[in-house]
Amino acid sequence: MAPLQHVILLLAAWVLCQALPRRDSVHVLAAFGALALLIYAPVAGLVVALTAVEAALMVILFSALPRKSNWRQYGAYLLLLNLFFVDFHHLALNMPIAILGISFSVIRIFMTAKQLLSARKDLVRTDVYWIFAAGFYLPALVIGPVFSGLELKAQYEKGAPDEVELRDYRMVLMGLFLAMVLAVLLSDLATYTAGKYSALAAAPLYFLQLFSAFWGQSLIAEHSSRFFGYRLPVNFDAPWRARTPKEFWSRWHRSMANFVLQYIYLPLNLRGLSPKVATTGAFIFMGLWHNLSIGYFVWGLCHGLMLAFSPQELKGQVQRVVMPVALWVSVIGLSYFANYGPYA
Amino acid sequence: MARLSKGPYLVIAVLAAMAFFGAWVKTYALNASSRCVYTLAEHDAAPADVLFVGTSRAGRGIDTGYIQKHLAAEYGKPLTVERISLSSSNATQFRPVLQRYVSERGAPKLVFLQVLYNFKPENARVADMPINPPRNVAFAPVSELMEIRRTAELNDLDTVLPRTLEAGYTSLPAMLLAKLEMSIVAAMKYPAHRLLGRTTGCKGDEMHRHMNPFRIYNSIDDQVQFAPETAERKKARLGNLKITANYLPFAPLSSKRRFENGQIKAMIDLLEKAGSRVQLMYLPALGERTIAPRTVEGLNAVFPNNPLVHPMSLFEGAAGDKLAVSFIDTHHVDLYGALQFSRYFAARIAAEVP
Repeated sequence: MAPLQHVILLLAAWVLCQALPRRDSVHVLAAFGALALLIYAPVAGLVVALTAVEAALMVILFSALPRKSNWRQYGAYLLLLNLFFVDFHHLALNMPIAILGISFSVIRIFMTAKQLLSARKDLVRTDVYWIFAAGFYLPALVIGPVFSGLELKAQYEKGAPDEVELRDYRMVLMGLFLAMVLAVLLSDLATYTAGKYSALAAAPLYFLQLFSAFWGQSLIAEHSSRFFGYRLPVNFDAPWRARTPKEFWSRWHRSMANFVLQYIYLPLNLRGLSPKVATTGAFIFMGLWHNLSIGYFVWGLCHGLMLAFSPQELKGQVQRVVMPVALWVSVIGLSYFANYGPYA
Repeated sequence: MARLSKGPYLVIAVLAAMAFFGAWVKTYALNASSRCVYTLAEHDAAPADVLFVGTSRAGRGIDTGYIQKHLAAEYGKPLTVERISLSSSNATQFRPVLQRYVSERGAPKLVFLQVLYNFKPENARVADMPINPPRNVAFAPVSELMEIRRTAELNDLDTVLPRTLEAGYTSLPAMLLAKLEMSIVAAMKYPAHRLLGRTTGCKGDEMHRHMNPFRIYNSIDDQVQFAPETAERKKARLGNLKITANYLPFAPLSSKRRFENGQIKAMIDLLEKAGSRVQLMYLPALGERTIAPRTVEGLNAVFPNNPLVHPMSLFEGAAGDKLAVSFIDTHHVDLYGALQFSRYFAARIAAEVP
C-alpha cells in the first residue's frame, strides 16, 4: 500500500468516525485495517485474522492456568512462529502473496496476548477484542510501530482526547514527502551511483533511502493516529544524533527495539543467560524477523554484539571521535549487507 | 483546536481538487512513450491503413515514417502506417490501448500483431497475469481494465489457492486507489512540468516515433547513411553484445502459454470484429537467425486464420551475417537492422494492401 493510498484510506475512515463518539474510532480503524488487507493482501489478512483467533484462544485457555505455569508464561511465544509464513508461504502455497502487515501485526497480536496473560487481574473475556484491534489497526498496518492492544484499550477507556495539533498535519505531510518524494529521489540517485561507480559506493544512499521511506511511513502512522485521538509509540527520535549503539537503538525503530528488549532479552536474561548473550540473541531474533536470510542473521548478530560489547558511555577524545564514525559505518554497512549483499 | 480537529475535511477537499486537476492535466509520472501510445490511440484522426502492435523490439525495429515513404516511393502506395509499442511483459498490456484505438479511431486495414517469446519459469509468474502497469491505470478506463481481467484465463501453475489471490493481482478498489493517487501526484507535478516546459501529452512526430528516438532519414536507399562497418567496429560491438536472455524460445503450444495465447486471441477478435485483417509478427532477438518449422506449425494450429510474418529470410547469406550483429542489445536492432526490417515489412504491406 503506497503512502498516499494509506492516507486516503485513513481520511475515509476519519469521515466515518465523525458520526461516532470519538473513542469509538479505534473500532473503525480496526475495521478499515481489515478492509485494507482484504483489498491489498487478502491472504495476509487471513493470516493476521487466524493469528488473532489463535491468540484469543490461547489467552482464554492459558489464563485458566496457574500464573507461574510455563504455558501461561511462554505459550504465547508460539504465535511468533506465524512469522515464518512470510518466509515460507510460497513453499506451502506454491505462489507468492502480498505480505502486507503480517510482520508488524503478528508482533502486536503477540504483545497483546502476552500482556493479557501476564496481567495480575483475572481475564475479562471481552479484552481479547484488543488483540484484533491491535492486529488490524489501520495507521500501523504498513510499517508499524509495534505496540500492545492494551495501550489502545487504556486510551479508549480514557476517552481518546481531541488533541489534534497543527504539528500532526505537518508531520503527516512531512511523512508523505519523505516516503513519496525523497525516498524515490534517493533511490534513483543510489541506482545511478551504483551504475556509475559501484554498489558499495551507493550504500549510504541506499541506507538514506530506506531511512527516508521508513521514517516517512512511521510519521504517517504516528500522527494520523492522533487525528482519531489515539497516540502510538514514536519509532524514530533523531537517530542521526546517536553516537553509541545503545543510543542508536534508543532512537532507531524504537518500538521494535523495546519489543525485543522486553519480550526476548528479558526472558532470556531471567532464564540465566548473561546480559551480553541475551542481547546478542535478542538482536539475532530481530534480524531474522526482518528477513529469514544469512544477511539479516549477520545483521542481527553484529548489532547484538555491538550493543553488548561497545562502551555504554564515551570516555576520552579518541572514543568520542572514533565511536560515532564506527557506529555509522557499521550501521550503513550492515544495512547494505543485509539488503543488497550476497546473502540478502 | 476545534478547527484543527476538523482539519481532515480541508485535506480531503484539497486532495479531491488535486485529483480532479491531475486527471485533467494528465501530468502523470510516466515516460513519454507511455503517454504517446495512448495519445496515438485516441487522437482525432482516421485509423491508419496499417498498424504495428508490439513490444520495444517493434519500437526499435519498425520505422513507420520510413515505411510510409518507401511505400510511396517504391510501390506507389501512399498508405498511412502507425505503430503502438510498449515495453511489455505480456500481451494483456496491449489490449486497453488497442481497445482505445479501435473505439476512438476505428479499425486499420491491416494489423501486424507481435507474438512474444516464452518466459522462463521464474519470470513467467508475472508475465502471465493481467497486471496493469501505471500507464494503463492512468489512461485506460477502469471498466475496460476490469473487463479484460474478467475474461483473462490464468495459467494453471498448481497453486493451492486461486491465482487471483497471488501477489500482483490487483483488486478493483486497489486499482481505483492507485488511479486516485496517480492523479494527485500528477497535480503535484504539474507546476514542475510547466516550469520545465514539458508537454503533458505527446504530439506530432513524437507520437509516431515513441520508443524510438532515432529514425531512418531518407526513403531513397542510396542516401541512407550509416557509419561504414569496419572490422574494429564490428569486433567492438560484438564484444559488447551479450545475450541476456530472460526468455525461452517461442513455443506456441506450451501449456504455459494458455494465458498469453488467450490474450492474443482476444485482440485478434477485437480487431477482426472491427474490420481489420490481422497477421502475426515475430521479431527475432540477437542470436536468432531462423524460426523452427514446428514453431510456425504450432502457431498455425493455435491461430489458423492469422498467418505468421517474420523477417528471418533477411538473415541468410553474407547480408544476413551483417544483420545478425546489427543489434544494440539482446532484444533491439540498431539503425541498420531497423532499415532492413522496415524494408521487409514495406514489401509485405505492398503485397497485402491494395
